Amino acid sequence: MNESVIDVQDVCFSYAGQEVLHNVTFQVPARAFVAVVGPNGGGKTTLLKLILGELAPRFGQVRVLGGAPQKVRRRIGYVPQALQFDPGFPVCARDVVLMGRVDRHCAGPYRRADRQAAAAALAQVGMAQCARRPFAELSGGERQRVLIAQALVSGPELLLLDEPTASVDPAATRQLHTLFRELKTDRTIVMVSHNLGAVTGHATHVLCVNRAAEMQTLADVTAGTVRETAGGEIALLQHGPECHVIDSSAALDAPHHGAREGDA
Amino acid sequence: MTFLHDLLRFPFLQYAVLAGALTAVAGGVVGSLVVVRRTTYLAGAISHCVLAGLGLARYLQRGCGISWFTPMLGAALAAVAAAALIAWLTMRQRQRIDTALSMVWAVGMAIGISFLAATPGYQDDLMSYLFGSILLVDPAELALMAGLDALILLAIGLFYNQFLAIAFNADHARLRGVRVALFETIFLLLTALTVVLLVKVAGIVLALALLTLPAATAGVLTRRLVPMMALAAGICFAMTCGGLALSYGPEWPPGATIVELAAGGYLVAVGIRKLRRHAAGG
Repeated sequence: MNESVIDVQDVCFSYAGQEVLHNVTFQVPARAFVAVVGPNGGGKTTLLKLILGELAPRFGQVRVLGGAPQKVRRRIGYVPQALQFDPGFPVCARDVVLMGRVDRHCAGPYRRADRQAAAAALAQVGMAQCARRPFAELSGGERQRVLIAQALVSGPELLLLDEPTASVDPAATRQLHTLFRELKTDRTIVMVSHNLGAVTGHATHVLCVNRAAEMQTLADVTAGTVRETAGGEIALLQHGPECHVIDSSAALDAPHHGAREGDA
Repeated sequence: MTFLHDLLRFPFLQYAVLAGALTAVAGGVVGSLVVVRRTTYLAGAISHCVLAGLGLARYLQRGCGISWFTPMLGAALAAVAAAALIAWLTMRQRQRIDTALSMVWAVGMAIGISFLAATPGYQDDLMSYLFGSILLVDPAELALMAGLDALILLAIGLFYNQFLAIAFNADHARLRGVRVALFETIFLLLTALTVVLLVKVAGIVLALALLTLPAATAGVLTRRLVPMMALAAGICFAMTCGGLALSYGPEWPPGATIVELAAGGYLVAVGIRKLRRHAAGG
């Protein structure tokens, strides 16, 4: 039997007595693209941190890639919600990508294999020509691509993306979603997003998180599911590179039949 | 010209230039990391705490007759102790960094003053502790400086990638399995050893300026860390030699002149960059 890439069983988590996640259970199959949606403060980022092993559940169990999250962290790529960095920090794009392989050697400089992997990761995200450019001089979308290359450079089997398009303009958002569609072919991706419409073009599952969590395949998601578990209405549905505003209830009240880019 | 003429004749001037070169290497490399990490006040706290070690050494030498306990040894012990205390307070006890630095900064000076007050005789060399004594460097101190330089360069060379990753994004480095607390502590100790070298040149009050100003000047001129380190070392050496030469004729204090020159160099670099940007924009 094919083991789940992520297996979350009866997980409860609290910050200072305030319960953020309650009895959360779901499994993510291999090669799935899971869109994690829900309101602010609903526990989406906390859930990612539990999967990364940065936080430990109060009750329940989290297993990732068949092991404890801390043990398999090197097989996970992670792109944080927003990177706080000094604009004057003297690094180029390639330096930032190489940091994704900082754990490969106890001491000494990066080896040729590391530099080749960094070049390949930058090429994969369409940033090969920017390898030597200072990171601070890149646009928001370009920086986000470099951070995705940093997450990819170690060859992760699981990619966790925490609102990767939150701080970039619509054109860069479209380019990033095209990139995510390419990346999902050979790895499992879990992406937190406020924009369900943007991810429906390539997500296979939707995980609604609002203290509780419910995961469904995209075909089974309805407006009722989102309303109940995510605690709000979806006002905008966006498919593919073009943006289409439609009536959310009309779109989701009927079962979704796996519409993809170009179907809209 | 007098300086160049005397440089060829007098060993004390040759030792001073050599001390400038040795401190410039460590100062440029560690100073660049201190500047990009924005931890200059950490170096300031350690340098002021060095007075405790200098005072202890003077007390043990003059008050207790322990001649082998030199000021340089006292300075090194105090700097390492200060770095270890800052690391323990901030990383183990989760105390606020500004509180820990203020305590180390002030208490280190207080302990130093107490030791100096308890030391018998007139404290004729107090000014050299505060503002440096590069012209009094002897061959034994040069050997110690060379040893500290080698240790600092070896550690930075071995763990450069870890230091860079932590400085850029400590959370990401931790997720990638880097032992952030361990490397932060190592970096604090390296900063402490660099401060000990700089204290001999510029004194405890001015060492902070010599650690940060050449690196800041280099940071204005380049956008990559390794070139910044090399350039900072070169600027630090040039400022040290320039300060020595300028101060030699009129008998100005060399440490203060070196720091004034370094500050002037930094302001000129910032001004040139401003003009270049203005010209490019226009």
